[in-house]
Amino acid sequence: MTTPILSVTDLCKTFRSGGGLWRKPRQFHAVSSVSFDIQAGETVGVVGESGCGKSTLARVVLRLMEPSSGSIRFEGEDIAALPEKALRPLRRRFQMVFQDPYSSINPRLTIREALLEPFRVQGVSLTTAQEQDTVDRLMAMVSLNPVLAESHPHHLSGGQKQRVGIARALALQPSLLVLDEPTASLDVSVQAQVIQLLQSLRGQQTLTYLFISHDLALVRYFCDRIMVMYLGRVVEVMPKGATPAHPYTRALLESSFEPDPTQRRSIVRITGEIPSGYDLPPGCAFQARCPKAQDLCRQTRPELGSVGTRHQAACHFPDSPLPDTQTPRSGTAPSQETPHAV
Amino acid sequence: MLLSVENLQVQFGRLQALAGVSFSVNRGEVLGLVGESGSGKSLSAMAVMGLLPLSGGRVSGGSIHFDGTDLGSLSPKAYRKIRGGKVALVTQNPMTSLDPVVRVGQQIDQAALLHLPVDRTEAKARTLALMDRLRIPNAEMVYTLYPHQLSGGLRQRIVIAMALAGEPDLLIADEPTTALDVTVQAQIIQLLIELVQERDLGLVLITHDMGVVARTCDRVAVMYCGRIVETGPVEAIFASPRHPYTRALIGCIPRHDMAPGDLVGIPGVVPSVAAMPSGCRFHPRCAQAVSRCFTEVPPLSAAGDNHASACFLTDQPGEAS
Repeated sequence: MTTPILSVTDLCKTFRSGGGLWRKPRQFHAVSSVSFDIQAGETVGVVGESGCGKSTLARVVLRLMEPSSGSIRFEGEDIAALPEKALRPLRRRFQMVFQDPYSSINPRLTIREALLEPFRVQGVSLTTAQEQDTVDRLMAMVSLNPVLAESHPHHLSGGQKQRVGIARALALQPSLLVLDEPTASLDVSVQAQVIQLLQSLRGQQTLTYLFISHDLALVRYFCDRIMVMYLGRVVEVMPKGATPAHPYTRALLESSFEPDPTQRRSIVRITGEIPSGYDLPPGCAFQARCPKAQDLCRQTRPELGSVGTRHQAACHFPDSPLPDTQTPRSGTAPSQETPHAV
Repeated sequence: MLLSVENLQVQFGRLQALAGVSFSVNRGEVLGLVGESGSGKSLSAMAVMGLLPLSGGRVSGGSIHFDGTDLGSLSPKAYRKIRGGKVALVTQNPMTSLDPVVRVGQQIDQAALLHLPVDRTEAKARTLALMDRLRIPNAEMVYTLYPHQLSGGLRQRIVIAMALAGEPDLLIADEPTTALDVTVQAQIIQLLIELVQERDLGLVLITHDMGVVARTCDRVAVMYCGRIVETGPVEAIFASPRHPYTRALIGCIPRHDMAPGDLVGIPGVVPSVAAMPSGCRFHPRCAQAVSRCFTEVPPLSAAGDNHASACFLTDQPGEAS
């Protein structure tokens, strides 16, 4: 097995708030003991409702936030505790595309300047001719009209701005791209365009995606492997095409509407909203909203366990898996994913 | 017909934003008004609510009839009686449509006090009953909270409660679930459908998501650039969409049986009101456009039972992609 491009072990991020001279600060567990590997060329999706810790996970993995504990190995090197100065040269290898293209691009820079900024930050000096080539190449890569290079972000539509965000993230030719809800603020028509662009970029060069989204249908379409998060923990890891085993994933699936009026289901099994990450009850974090919760669920927290081929769920009573995932594999070591054809 | 909009035209100065829009909705029926941002869906809602003057627009042609009354002939005062009473609006962003410094319960009370012959005590009792009906937990306690203390889903329920407090016959919901998580969206959508049946409401649901339309609507009107391009029963729209724009919109929603590359989106962007293309306004983004599409405006013509499409190629039904 080759070394995974990203290997995260027992990653935790805890925020503290309140507290004082006599009171203990409250702890908010945004990310709790998350472990996963990503192979080069793989597209892994992280899905969950707002507040489940998926964005925090993205930020901690890229060291935009400091992890509370755990290790992050990027191409074999542990970056969790690396000082910022030593980390900077590595940063060109992993980049992020942010959720909101309206606020992630400096409004005072032209698109050209925004695209050249990563080179300046990394201390790469370019000649005028090289600059022009780079801007042209990046604009062409994300199918933006080159005349837009001299305009400012406010002249661009949301979809065009997100293309700039992607081009800027790809400027230094990273191997890992973390995409934090890159299409959440876009119209469905533009969302589909951006997804199509990401797919074609993945075909042109070896790119590994960690794709964060709240839309399970989109993640099932776009990703090779899916991690479902709930209140800071991974509750299910499944390969593309598998039927969910965790009731939360099932609920997410039932809540996403397919464009087919003959598939109307009137039962929405899940009620309420994601509870606060403070003062979590013992047992399964999902038990309060789960249609099949029992006493065991209220007492003991289920650990991730194998429910099928490369398919794990953290549930005491997982739903029976699909026929194609019916051979349970002993041990839960993730097997290597087939990388995409390049 | 509870609401019937005929050939509605809206102008901002010299720019025509709606170029003859017609749709109608009955009691107990859900009409989906679908299209991308900038297609004129929200503008149509604003016109029905009589709120265009706020943004500098005006109705320059056509008519809006509600329950037999021509809304265009109403004085501003008479309009105020209907708005929020018999015709209510649920807005997209509950954070901007709620007053941040008034307790949410009192905001719901206000709608009842304005439109119904009730006193404060009765208004509060109605509000609490309504909050219970909308499955807001701890209604008594939530009544006393301010909007910022509530989650997005609860805020949207409060906005729906405000809209229902005046006992409307017609509800216009403008992207009511766009800002919400999918699980909460499913709950809110289900609630809206229940209310339509329970109270025999007419509901105009504005959305850009064909998935939501498939799940909720009885009839669909697809809008593009200030025109209706296709209209029909929901089953027909999805089983045999006639307009390329409708097919493209359906193709934007991921489905479980899609192969990689199937999700295509719609190339290009919605043109601005100031630079409308000639002929069929969709032609610059349409793969099937023929020379006629560049010059002539295709009329909305029958394409089946209650099904009409404004495309010269309507005779050739396409598969939903």
